[in-house]
Amino acid sequence: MTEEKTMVTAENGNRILKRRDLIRTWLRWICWAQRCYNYERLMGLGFCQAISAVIEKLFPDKEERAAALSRHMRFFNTENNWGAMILGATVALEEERAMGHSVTTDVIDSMKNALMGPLAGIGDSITQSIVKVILLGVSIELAVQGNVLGPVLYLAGFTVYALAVSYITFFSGYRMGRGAATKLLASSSTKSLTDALKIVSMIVIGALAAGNIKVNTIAAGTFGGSEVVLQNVLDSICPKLLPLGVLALVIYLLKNKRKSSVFILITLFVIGFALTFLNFLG
Amino acid sequence: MNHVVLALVIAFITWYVATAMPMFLRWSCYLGGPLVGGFVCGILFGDITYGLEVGATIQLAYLGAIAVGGTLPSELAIAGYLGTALTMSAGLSAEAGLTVAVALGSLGLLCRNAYMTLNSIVVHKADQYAAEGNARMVRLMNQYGSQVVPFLCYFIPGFLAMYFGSQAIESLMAVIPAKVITALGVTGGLIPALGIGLLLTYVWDKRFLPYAFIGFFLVAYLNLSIMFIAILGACIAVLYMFAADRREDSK
Repeated sequence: MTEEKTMVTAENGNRILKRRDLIRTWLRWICWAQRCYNYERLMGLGFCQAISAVIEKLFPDKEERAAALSRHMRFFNTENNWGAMILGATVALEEERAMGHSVTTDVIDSMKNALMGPLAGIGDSITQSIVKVILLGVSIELAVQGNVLGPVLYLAGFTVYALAVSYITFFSGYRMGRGAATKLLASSSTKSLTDALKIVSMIVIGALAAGNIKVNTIAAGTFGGSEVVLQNVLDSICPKLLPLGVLALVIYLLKNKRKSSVFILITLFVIGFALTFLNFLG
Repeated sequence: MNHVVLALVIAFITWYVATAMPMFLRWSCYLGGPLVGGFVCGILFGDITYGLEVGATIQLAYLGAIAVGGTLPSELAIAGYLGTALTMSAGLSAEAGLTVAVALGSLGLLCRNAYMTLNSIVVHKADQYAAEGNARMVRLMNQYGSQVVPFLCYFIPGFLAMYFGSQAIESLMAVIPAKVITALGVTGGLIPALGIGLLLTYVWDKRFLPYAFIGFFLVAYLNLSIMFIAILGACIAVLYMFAADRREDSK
């Protein structure tokens, strides 16, 4: 199946995805990436729905398609405008993979993990610290004077910015993904490159864990006349000890106990409510 | 405009801006909620100058608000649209409106916490469809499944507040035990462990586990930015690649 496709594409020099497919993917992203925002996966579902039509087209085989969709359902979070670059690059790499080139799913997944943080960093600071502040500054000034141009300018300005930036980053991501894939094919050290990407991926995930999981105990007691606040004691041993513990518990349940994610979700709910009512967490 | 219709319209707009609107419009309509809300309510109430004044005053309070990783200290759709509308229907001054809006905005965090936590259920449903290779249902889950909880959380309190006045919301809040609200917030802090845990088990590789710890403790101890950590990771990765290639060559 894939061999046949590769031959066709090699002969025509054609790619599987048409410009129309790419435009639709970009539109799905910039419209609905954050429609099902949630604490568990943040933009996970948003990413999957954006790439879903591309996956359908690239992988007609049901099992391959299911595997690819599930892979793109994972935790994902970035800034929508600048992060569109990651989607573009992912689309290009998935296309290369469908065409039978030696791009592995490991490379694609690690690339997503490694890039989501930095692009969120760049995007958040440009979009919210620069663009938003400038546009709001001008618009509030006008609105205070009762000038309708205030909100109108703000609306138009930000919308044009969001559409333009995400369009440009999405398509440059797509081109870069294709370029990267060609280089990958040429280099002999694909194995060490995959490992290298995994390293960045791991270090970023570790950082995300410390930044995103929030657990604080409010337990305190009096021992020998002095008040002891448990959180302070824990912090003096090592900060973020409780978040690390919760993450370790989740991984233990997933890997060793083979529990479903639904089971773990319910467990976290029970823990959260029980320990709050016992005045342990707050 | 009829009082009931007005309440319905404001409640609808609040929900739509909070969770349903296309993302490229949310940058302006959500992050600038009070400013745009003042304009929209000005049109609805037939007094644009008043609306703009209230909106701009509330917006100034949120000028420095930055959503890092998607978290804002206030619910801007509620502060912006519901806040402005309540201020205008009570005929309050812009400054008095500011206190109404900021209070509502922090109450609104409860709505936000509720849907951000409960939408996990929709994601798990989408997981099932993804595992069946059903892309269309994945998209439908994102499009419509995602809106069930937000609609309940935003539309109903929004309508009640507009219909009965903001006291209605306060008495509604008084019925909910404070512990439940805290517990929802606590659970919201725990749930990212599942998303990140899932991700980590997919890319699991014992050899590279120490790198996850390095990333974790760099943030835990030094509170470093993710950008720095990614740069550091990239440098380590390049060094690793060179070392691996040298090992290959010497064989």
